[in-house]
Amino acid sequence: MKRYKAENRVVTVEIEQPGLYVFEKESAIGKTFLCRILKRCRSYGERTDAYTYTDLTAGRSLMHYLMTTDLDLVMLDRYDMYNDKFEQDIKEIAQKAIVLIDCKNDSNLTEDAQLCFLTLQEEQLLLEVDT
Amino acid sequence: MMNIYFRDEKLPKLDIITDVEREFDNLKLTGSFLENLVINKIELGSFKDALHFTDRFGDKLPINFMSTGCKAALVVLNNPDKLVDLKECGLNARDTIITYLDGNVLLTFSTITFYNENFHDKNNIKVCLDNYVFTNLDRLNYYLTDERPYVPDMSRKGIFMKR
Repeated sequence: MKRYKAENRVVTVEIEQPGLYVFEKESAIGKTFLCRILKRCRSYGERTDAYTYTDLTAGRSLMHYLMTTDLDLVMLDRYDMYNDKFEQDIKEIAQKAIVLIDCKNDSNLTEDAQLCFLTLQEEQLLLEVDT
Repeated sequence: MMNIYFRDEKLPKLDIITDVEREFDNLKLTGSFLENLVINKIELGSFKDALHFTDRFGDKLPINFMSTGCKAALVVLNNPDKLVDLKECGLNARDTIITYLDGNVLLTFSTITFYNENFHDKNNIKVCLDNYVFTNLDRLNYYLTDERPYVPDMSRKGIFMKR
């Protein structure tokens, strides 16, 4: 189990293995909040980061963002807006890191991904895998 | 009335909103009954003022901290003359939009069904699809799973032709 802390919340990660994980298809479970926390943790020097659609529209490449350092935990927020882009890059990252994907529709990338669950609690964001 | 359209099918000549986050950035919330309802159903919170909402834990947060699904619902509510793409919406947000709001929405799959655990009065919807108006959620789901693209059984309750 790993823990990260930012914005007065603890992120508890109960996922052990690197790989691709897709969130359940629900809104308002705390995904975008998690994205913000993981970006903030990166700025503190933690081995986490996140990528979202506004990074893409601002011209920041996923390659530059996520592949220049070794990361343990990565989140792709709003993946439906750039569905099926960067597929090989993301699969490469998932060899070494836990890659969480927010994707509500079918995509090649999430076909083989494991389902994961995010629970938003008052002081904690709990991340678990479907068992 | 809520008008449903599916991707890869014939769409109306309306402006399409694809990036709901961007559209939401330019929305000014008023705290209307329906805005409050949407925030309550999806975020489990409530409207505070034009720039803030109260989340499920009672914390006051900036409105841009809302989920994309809730923002999409508020964009649908405030853009009745545009077609809003719901591809980023979770099932709970999508079903809240379909069952409570009026407007025009674009969905991805034509074989989906709708469900709303808090929606006890299933005879209180008004959804238009393929020129049929559905007033019952179960009737709409039956059409999607068992009848479409064929002509629906008009003798079953909860459906009538759009005039």
